[in-house]
Amino acid sequence: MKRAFLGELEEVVLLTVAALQEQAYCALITQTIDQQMARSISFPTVHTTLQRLAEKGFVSSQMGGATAERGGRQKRLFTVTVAGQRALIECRLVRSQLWEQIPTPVLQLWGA
Amino acid sequence: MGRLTDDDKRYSQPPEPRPPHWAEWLLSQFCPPGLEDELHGDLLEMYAYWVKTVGVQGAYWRYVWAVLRVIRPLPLFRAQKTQDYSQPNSLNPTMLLNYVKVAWRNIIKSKSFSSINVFGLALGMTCCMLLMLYIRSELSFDTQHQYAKSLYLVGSRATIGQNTGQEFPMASAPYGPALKAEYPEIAQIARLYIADEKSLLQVREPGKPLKSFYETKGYQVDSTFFDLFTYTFTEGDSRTALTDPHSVVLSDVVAAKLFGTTSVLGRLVRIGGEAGMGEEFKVTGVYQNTTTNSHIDARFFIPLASGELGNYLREGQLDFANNNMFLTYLRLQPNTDPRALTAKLPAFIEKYARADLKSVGFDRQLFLVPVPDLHLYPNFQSVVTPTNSITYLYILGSIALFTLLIACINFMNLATARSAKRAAEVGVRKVMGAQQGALVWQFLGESVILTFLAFLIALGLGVLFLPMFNQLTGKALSMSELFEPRTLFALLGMALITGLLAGSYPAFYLSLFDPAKVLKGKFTNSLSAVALRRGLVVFQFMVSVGLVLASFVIQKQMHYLRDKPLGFTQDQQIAIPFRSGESRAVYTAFRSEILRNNQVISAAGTQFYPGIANQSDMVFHRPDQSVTQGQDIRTNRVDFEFLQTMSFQLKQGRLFSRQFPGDTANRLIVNEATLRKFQIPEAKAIGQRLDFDWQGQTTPFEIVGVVKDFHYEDLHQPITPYAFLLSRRPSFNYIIVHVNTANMTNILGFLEQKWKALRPDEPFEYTFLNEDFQKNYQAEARTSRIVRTFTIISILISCLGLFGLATFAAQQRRKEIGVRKVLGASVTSIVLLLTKDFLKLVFIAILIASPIAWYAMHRWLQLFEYRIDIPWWVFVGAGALALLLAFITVTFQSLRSALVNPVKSLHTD
Repeated sequence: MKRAFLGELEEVVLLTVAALQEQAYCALITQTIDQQMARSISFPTVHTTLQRLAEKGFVSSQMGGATAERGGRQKRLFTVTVAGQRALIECRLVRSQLWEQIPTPVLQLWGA
Repeated sequence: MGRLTDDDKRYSQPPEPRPPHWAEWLLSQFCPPGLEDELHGDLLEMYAYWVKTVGVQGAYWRYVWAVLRVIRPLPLFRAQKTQDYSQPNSLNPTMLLNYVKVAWRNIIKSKSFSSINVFGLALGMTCCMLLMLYIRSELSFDTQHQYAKSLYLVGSRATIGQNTGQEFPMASAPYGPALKAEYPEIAQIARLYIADEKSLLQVREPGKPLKSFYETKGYQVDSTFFDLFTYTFTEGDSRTALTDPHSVVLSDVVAAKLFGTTSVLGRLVRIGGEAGMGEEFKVTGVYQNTTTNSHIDARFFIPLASGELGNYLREGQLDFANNNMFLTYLRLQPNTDPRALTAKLPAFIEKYARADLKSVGFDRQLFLVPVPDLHLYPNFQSVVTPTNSITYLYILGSIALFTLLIACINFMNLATARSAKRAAEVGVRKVMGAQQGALVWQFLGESVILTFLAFLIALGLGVLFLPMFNQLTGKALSMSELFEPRTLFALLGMALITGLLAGSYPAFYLSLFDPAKVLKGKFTNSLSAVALRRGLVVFQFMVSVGLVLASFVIQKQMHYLRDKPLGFTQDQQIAIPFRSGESRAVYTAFRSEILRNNQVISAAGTQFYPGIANQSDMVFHRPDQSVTQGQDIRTNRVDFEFLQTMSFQLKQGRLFSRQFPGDTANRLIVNEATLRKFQIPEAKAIGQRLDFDWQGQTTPFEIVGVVKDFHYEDLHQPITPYAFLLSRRPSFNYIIVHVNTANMTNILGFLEQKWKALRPDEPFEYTFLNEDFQKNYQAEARTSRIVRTFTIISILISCLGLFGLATFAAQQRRKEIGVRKVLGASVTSIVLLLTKDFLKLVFIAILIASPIAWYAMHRWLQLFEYRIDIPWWVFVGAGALALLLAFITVTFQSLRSALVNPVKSLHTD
């Protein structure tokens, strides 16, 4: 098994999966990132990233219900696995640690 | 159903945009397995989203791009996640190592097959390699010059009297300078004059003995010559080397020969012969004589302004029609279109040359030939050095290709024939999970390994045979050329392609085996494989038989050329050249001295003799016709006894004789072709007048004799009008000595002794007339030798393949033969049984090859004016030879298996 390392893109996708909860499937994830993150991301990129996350064991998936708007096709719904949760938490921890190390005056200066 | 509601109206709107059909189709075809549903659905949803956010057009492109990225079109890239067990990639290093191992074991296991394969391939590659080197060298002529791409020779297409279209490379002296003055797109011009076949070089240095050599290939050139052609100077400055009329530029070879060193600037050489007229020349430059691949294969250069030629040019001979004895080269300005310039040349002729041309009844068109094309230019027999024909390069190229092809076919045949043996291996591999791709790679790899083994051997053979090949072709190809990175790469590429080609059929054929059948032992060679193998054998022998036929016909034509009666005696004729004014001055004395020997039947001086180039010609016309209706006649000035010495056959009138005081320079003896051209009946020929116009003056000539047509040139050329004129002033280029003795050494010793007595500081030289004549067929003789040699090799390779197949067949039928013998079959009947199959194939090959070869050789013979008819027995002979060789090859194996004790072959099971 590959070392569980979370890339930046993977982190964004994984977070989106977590945010969308039961609704997390590739098309919606792409659209969410596209709208909310003010960042253009292509469908194939999300698709491959999800596959990579699955390979790493950070997400699991099962086939979900079909809707008419997708021509009656099934969706693959993703959920964050325990390993995925750990990775996200660790990620957040590292970040907050770094945030905390920034001196308060500096932060105030930034207006954060 | 009532009124439309608002909702209904909405649905009757134009349908919603749909993603492109073709992209959807692509997705359905190449979608990664297992993801079909979700990808289709997701992409459809995304499409709708994109239509909203970026419009229909944007959505279209995004959809297409997304499809292209999510699908994996090539099987190689298709993720193999469908299988839960892992399988190494076909090109995994571990697998590669395994292939090499298996290949090596297979090679070792069947040594005889492998060695036949490798050796055959190596032989084929060696041939191909050597011929490629030869062709490359022929094609690379004159590409080494810095300005090679903008160098052109001014060629002429002449209309002389009624004859049109003859092309020649020479022009008169004023063309070059006039062209340069007229057209600014010509950057520089240079003229070259081929003085004489040989020049006498002498070095007199105080305190040292006189050094005296004949040197060929000395040319007179304009001082601008090195501004066009690139030579590497080791001494002196190429720009100024030829400005002084008394300067000479030597090649390092000649410099070393004359002075023993190449550092010779400022030293003096006396140059005799037509070129230098015995004046002293100062060395102003030395260049490296590595430019053998140039049509100007010069040993030394002297300025055009020197010697007799210099005087001629200084006298301002600006005649645009006569004395076409200069090769005129142009260097065009960069980016000049040569076609545009050629289009202007008729106007040039009109402006400068029209008047002169009119006075001699001569018309000409100018055209430009790129200098790198000169060596293979089809219409020039020779420019400075003899040219080659592209036809011969095609012939040799096809031989190279065919030899290699034959070797490849051997390889394929043996590999498929042995497939039965390897079928089990394929079966096991497949059962163990090998995919077809992996097997293909394995077999291709094996053949590539064998090919590279063959390639290494071929390199060795190439190095070994290069000297022999050079002798065969008269080239000086070196090993370093073989090992040049570019050549080596090309050869490696050739080896790789050969390997893939030779391995392709077995690879795809073997890898297709159905493991279930093979492992059950139900495998037999399929019909199609056998048919293919037979087809390939037929093809192979077709090529071989074709080559045999070709070399038979070429051989026969060469014999014909050698033995055809030429209309004069060529045997026991010795030609001794006079190369200096001094030697010409002693002609009379030398002649009377040698005539005292009773083995010398006769001797006579001449300007030219049959077999060597004779450029001298005059345009004669009948007195009742104008000069524009004149005919171009080749002329030769001779001594009184020349015609008798050469035994020309008189048909009418008489030969020149000292008894007729009226025999002067204005009397002609012509050949029959001349009479035909002027439509003079033979009976009325004697006493007829022919006129020659020169600078407005008409000189009458009288025909006193007619000789039978004779071949004064090689037999490529038809016989054209020829006239002998008397030369009262003994300024002959040659003396022909007709001797009557078997002891040539003796008579040559005598001649040399007499020569030395009169010309002590000039070497004595001689040639035999018949040999000079044969020199004209060198190109054919060389091609004939090459074709013959490579024919033998290709037959050898074919037989090698047949040998392998026969061995295989005999092995396969061991049991059958055993049973037959036990039941009382005779050895002869068994041999016949085994050979019959193969001989049938060879026979078919002969039948197919004969008409093709006949046609090809028929075309080749058209190159000759005088040629043989292809006799029927050549086909029989070639066929019999092929059958015989095949029979011997196959019988050897058949006999061996027929003689085996059946007890041995039957009890092993």
